[in-house]
Order: sequence, then C-alpha cells, then structure tokens
Amino acid sequence: MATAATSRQGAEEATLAQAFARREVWAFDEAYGRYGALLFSVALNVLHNAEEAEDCVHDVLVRVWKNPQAFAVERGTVRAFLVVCVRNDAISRRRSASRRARLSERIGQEAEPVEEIEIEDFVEHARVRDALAQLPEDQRKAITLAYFGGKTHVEIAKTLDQPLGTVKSRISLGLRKLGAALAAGGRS
Amino acid sequence: MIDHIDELAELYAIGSLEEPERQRVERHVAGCAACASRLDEAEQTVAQVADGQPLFEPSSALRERLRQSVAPPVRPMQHWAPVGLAFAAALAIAFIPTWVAVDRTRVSQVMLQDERALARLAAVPTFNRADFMSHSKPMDAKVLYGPHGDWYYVVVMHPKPGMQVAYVHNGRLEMLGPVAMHGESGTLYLPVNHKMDELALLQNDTVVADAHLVY
Repeated sequence: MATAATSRQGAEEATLAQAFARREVWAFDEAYGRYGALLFSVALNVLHNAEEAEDCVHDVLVRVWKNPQAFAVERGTVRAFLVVCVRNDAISRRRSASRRARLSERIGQEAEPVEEIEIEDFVEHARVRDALAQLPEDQRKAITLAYFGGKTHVEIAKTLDQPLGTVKSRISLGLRKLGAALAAGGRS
Repeated sequence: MIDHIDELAELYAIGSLEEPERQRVERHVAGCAACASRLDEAEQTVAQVADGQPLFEPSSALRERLRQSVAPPVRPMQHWAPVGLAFAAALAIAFIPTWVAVDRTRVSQVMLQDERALARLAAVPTFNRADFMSHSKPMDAKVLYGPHGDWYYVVVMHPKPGMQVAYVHNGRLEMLGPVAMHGESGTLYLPVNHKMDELALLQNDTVVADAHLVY
C-alpha cells in the first residue's frame, strides 16, 4: 500500500515529467538538481573517469533537451529515462574506446576472456544484491555480464557459448524477475 | 518500424544493444504506448539497480556548463498569441511591484522572457525583494524571491549586453546565468531550490552590484 510520502513523490514525478516533456526550463534544472548525482554516478560506474563521466552526462542531457521527440510522458518517469539514456551513452563510449584500443593493438576479433564479476564489488545495497541472488544462475550470469560487464547480447552469447536467442530471453526474463524481486523487497 | 519491441525493451534498458538497434527501439516506442510502458518498467528496474551502486557528486562546473548549453533563445514577440499577451499583461499589473514603471509594452516584454516567473509570483501570497547596490547606492535592479529560497527573479532596468548574475558564497562567485535583454529591461528567472543570501551582477566578468537577501 502506498504511503502518503510515496504518493506525493509519485505526484511530483508526474508533474516533473509533464513539464520536462513540455521543455519548461525549470524542469531541466529541477531534474538535474534531483538526479544529477545519480546520473553522474551511473556514468562514472561505467567509465571510471570523472571528466569523461561529466562529458557523458552533459552531452546526454543537452541532446535529450534539444530533441522534443526524445521524451514524452508515456515514457514514464524522467528519472528512469535519464538513467538509461546516460548508461547507454556511457556504455557506447566505453565500447568505442575498447574497439579503438583493440584496433591499435591489432588484437582484432580475438574473443575476450570470460570475466568473473563479483556483484559485491559493484553493488552496495543489500536489497539489490539479494534480488540478484534470487535469479536462476543462467539469468543472473547474463544480467551480470550485461549490466556490470557492459557487454552486448552478441558478446554475451559468445562468452557463454549460448545461442543468441537464448541469451536475449535470459536477459529479458531475468530483468523482469529482478524488477519483481525489487518491488517485493521494497514492500516488505 | 518493427512490429513490437518485445524483449528488446529489457535489452535496451540494460544497455546490451548496439546503437542501430537502440535507435530502432527509440523510434518504435515514440509511437507505441504498449511498448513504451514495457520499456519504462525495464528502465525502472535498471534505475533501482543503479540506486544500489556507490553515489558520487559531480563538480559544480557541470551544472553551469549545462545551463549555458540549454539556455533558451529569447523569444520574439510575434510568436505570442494576443490572448497570451493579454493574460501576461493582466498578471503584470496585478503582481509586479510599483517600482516597475507601468509601461505596458515594456512590462509585457519583461514577462515574455519568462512567464513562469510571473506564474510563480501570482501563485504565492507574499514574496521578498532586495535591491542591487552599486557603491552603496541602489541601482535600477531588483531581485524578487520566494520566502523559502525556492525561486529568484532578477529584473534589471537598462541592462548592458553581457550582464550575468552570480551567487556569492564563501567569497567565491558561482555563475547562475545571463540576464536576457528585452529592450529597456533584462530578466533572469532561477527556479533554484537553495537559499542564497547574496547575489552579484557582473559586467565583463567584473562585479558591478550586489544584493543581500534576507529570509
């Protein structure tokens, strides 16, 4: 059951989303005030370089703001929308840098070694760790490589030696289960 | 256009699509409410995972850089409908303090710069006001601000090109933005939710006046 605080938060989010979609200047400032640190952290956790992370947040916010089609209220909350925009951009930057490095080292198409990703290294909150731990192992592996490893589904299929369709299904199903587990954890 | 994005929604949200596939998803959800809803659900989950990761503060320079990058162009009068002009003029007469000369054309131009400031003024029962002082003498510039420090509206009469407003804090200047010119007046509206106790007006990077705000 929603508390008064969560209802108010939801109403504020909805107001912000409407104003952001209408390109009202105060909404941009408010969105940055509320989510600037989160967006910067999202970029920094991918890029591991503060200057590049700030460039990433700047470029994404300006691009989104200057494209009236980028955000509509039907897309949901400004917060989740911006988090994913910044993360996707940061991942693209990292992939481009990796490709450039591979080309310069003439490693070419060599497969990268399977990385052991320890979730504890990335996630501070027990609620998120517990929700991830509830996933079946094959889905957790795919989710971990995608989210924390920043790999494409094609790379994950190669890494895990699984068909592409299987990997796509594991990521899709795993993320939906993770959402359900987080929602259940939030209510308990 | 693809039929529906289905599981691409989760792949998009988690960041495992390449750029061309991302663009296909973005184009599709712009016109499909069902897929937009599924994508939002996936994005909410990703945002919750992001919440569980370490949080870092960006530098204050990023905010100023963003402000400069998204500063709206001054809108010319002909873009406004007569109904909007009448409404804005009515608000001005009701709420702008008497120190503003009641010159309808000029006041309308002030309001056109930022109708949100006037909506704010109209919505609150009281607001505070401080004069900008230059060499201990008041200059023709004021700041109207919310009693809780949640908005500020700087109005400068006869501004010079390139005027800027800054927040004076711990002996340092934090640039807040340029004064938008409208003929004989200039304005800057700041929906900043932070109690600022001193603002400065700058001309060519030199402080020409300051205002002390009391709450």
